[in-house]
Amino acid sequence: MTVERTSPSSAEARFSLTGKRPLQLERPIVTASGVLGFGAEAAELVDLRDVGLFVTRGVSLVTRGGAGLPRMVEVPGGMMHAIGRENPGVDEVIDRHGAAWRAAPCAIAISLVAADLGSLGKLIARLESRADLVGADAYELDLTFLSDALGGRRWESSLEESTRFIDAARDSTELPLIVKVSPDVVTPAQFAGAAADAGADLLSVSGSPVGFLPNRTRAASALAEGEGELSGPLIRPRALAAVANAAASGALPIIGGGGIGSPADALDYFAAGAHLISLGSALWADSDLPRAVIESARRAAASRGGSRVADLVGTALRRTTTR
Amino acid sequence: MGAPPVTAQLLAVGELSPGRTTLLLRVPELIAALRPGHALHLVHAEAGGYRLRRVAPVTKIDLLAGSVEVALLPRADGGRDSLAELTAGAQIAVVGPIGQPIEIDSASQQILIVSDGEGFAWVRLLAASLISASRSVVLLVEARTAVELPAASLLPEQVEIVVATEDGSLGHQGSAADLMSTYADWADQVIASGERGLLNAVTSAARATSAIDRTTAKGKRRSRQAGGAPWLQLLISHEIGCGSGVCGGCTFSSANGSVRLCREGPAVSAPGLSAGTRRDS
Repeated sequence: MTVERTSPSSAEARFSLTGKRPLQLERPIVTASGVLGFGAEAAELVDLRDVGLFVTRGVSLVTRGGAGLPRMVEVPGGMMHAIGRENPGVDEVIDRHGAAWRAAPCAIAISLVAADLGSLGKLIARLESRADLVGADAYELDLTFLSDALGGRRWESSLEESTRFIDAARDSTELPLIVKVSPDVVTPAQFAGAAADAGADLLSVSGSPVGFLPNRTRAASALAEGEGELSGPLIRPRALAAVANAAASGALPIIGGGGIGSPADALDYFAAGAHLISLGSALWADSDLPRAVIESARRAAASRGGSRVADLVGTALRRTTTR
Repeated sequence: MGAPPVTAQLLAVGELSPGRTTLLLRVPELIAALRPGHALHLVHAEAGGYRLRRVAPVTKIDLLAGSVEVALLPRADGGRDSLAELTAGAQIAVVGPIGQPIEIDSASQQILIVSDGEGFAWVRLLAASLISASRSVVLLVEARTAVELPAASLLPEQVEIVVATEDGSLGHQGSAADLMSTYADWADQVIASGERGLLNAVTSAARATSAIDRTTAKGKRRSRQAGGAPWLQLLISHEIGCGSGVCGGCTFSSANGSVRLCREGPAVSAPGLSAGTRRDS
């Protein structure tokens, strides 16, 4: 498996994954799962023609009712949320959103949520059996979700269980697999290598690390679920560290994200080794951000004497590793 | 694409009740669409340049001046609010209206509002609008102690205000929901706004005071539906992330399916309210 950069004259920002499981993206921009729903409603906030890969909200085999309120609170430097991966189950999601996925002006990755390997296998089987209605280009394996085998801890907290999860998915599909983890993941570089060996095609270091906050009375947690997922600038340095660590392994192309609120933030992720940029809640406040990131990346590449966005990838990483 | 942000000019920073900041904004483009129960999203850069959409209930509208007053919700972490530190003349990107207006049936003449310090921001405009429309309004308002109550001068003098304080420092000692039995039969509609504890207490009190139907003064049975509007509406104050109904940040499960506070709320019909539930995949 190789990462190929196409000629700058045709599309200097294009990203292509070649090999047995090709994936071609017109732009190096990924939408973070959950931020823009399942897809059909996303056009309310963002023009998907500015996006390379739309990652859907998490889809599970059966209905998940989600968390109680409060689901979302502000914290210093960002937000904390616990939505509970609410979704109506795979069949209803396909019925409601399949047509929008097939008509989307960008590639689509279905984010898969499963607490056990049996559910994962059935979920993928269901999607594959209705592939003509789904039109997916890839699957995202959400390893920030909670594992029954790990007693309710996240899959990403165990390299061994995560590998089993990826293995099971690989056995079930020929579509490219994107493995999503957070900066909480154990040893990102080691994880990237193990994920590649298990059959992953990309590693997305864009998930939310865990947080906790008491409410104002300190008599309960601020979120109904207790713990929540952090996003915003407060996680950016940790996410960049995890991206750099994973990228240095060279095992997989990296999707980097977490707390990106401006084109400059996105350039930091390219420099840390990300091939693709995952944008999250900042899209709610700035629908032009995908286009601004690409334009900024093109200018940054030109200022370095290059012509391709790919020339920006890992520039800070190389300096770090040669020191 | 959703409604694009418009630029509002900050005219003044004020206070709705102790610790509850208001912003007076000049934003004539949005004013005609705003109704009681609506909020605005304030798109504002936090520390580090990160821009969030902050939900702010509309508390007052001045059509002639083209200005809107909104209240800032207190941060869950009790931390500094950079919006509250802005000064007159600042410009803020604003999106709105967020949510649906509170439903008041044209036949409803007597409206009971139940609120606490948290919920008052969402119902102040409602009370003023109802008085302007020649309706009768009773506000049952509660606070921990008298000094935490919103000032009566924030409402038209025609609003009958009945106070409850937890420590008994003013008015009834206890909850505003304790007073529901006195007013429930009088009210054509009830709007409750506040912390979850108050909303639960109001719902329980409403169910205890009478059955679903009641008899009017003319001896006719009538439903506790005020026309097409629910008799009891609960206004749930909550962070609203995307404002477009896609992120799930303000969604909860009800007997009638998922309710998105930014789209179907923030005022919801009480009978449909239930705690969020989780089922594993």
